[in-house]
Amino acid sequence: MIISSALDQYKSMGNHQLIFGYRGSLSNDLVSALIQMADSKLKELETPFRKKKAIINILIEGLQNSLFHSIEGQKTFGNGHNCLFLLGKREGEYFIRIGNFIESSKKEVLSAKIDKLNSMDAEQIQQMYLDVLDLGALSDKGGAGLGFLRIIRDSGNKIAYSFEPADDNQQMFYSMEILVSD
Amino acid sequence: MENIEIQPTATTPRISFRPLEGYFEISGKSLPENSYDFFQPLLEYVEAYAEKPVDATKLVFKLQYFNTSSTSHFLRMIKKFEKIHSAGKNVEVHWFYDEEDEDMKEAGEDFKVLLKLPILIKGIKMD
Repeated sequence: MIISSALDQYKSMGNHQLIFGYRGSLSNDLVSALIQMADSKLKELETPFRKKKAIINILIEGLQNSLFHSIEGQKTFGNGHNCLFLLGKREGEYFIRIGNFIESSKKEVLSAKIDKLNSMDAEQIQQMYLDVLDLGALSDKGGAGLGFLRIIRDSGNKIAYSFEPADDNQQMFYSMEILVSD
Repeated sequence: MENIEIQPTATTPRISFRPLEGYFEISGKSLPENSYDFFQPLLEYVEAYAEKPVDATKLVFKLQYFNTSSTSHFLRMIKKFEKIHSAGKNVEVHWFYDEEDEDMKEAGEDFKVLLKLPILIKGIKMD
């Protein structure tokens, strides 16, 4: 049996400036393992501590968001709460891409939420972070919605996102891309 | 009250609560899958402690990283110690961060903005 060229795959991953990626089902232990791996890869690349920490924080929030809010994709995409996670570096910027399946009905609320946060400046984001943190501490369940605020605050950039139709109208593949300037 | 000693895991912090000494420490990584389940029993414990605290209480944080749902629970916990402080007892929060980790320093400063009890923020060498 002939397998497709591993060298081509190796080159292709390099061409996309990938540091590393993951496709598959998530668990919280796996989130922790991916974070450990990102941490050591970023150390290898001599990423300044501040940037490395921002990337780690974004991964924690982004991957746990994917773990907690994704739905099971259709069988054609494999079993389980599958996600796509890519960490790479191009033209002096790190990029983090995280994607997962969501119910199509969530699209409106989610995009409105991100659009609103994207329209705010750094000072407003910081103030809102503190407000939501303080408010969340009053309830048992903690501050819902802090994750996106932390992602924007730590990246210093807007969140780019997309919703792509999956097999039917019930679900979509939601992905976001966050940049951290070097 | 009995001491609480919880060993760290890949996603939960080390907990060392020694009420007779007035010493409460949370250290390591905090990204539990369910922050409420992890922290709620600890918050109830601190609430019980607050009814009969010793004269001087120290709450120590030495964190490497955490998720935002942990942060809300940290704030809830510090607020319980703040009540002991407003009742006239000596309470200090010591927020230690890795001396390279400006982000963790700022996380301590966020709490300082939201609270009225003394929070000492100090960079140290961490493993």
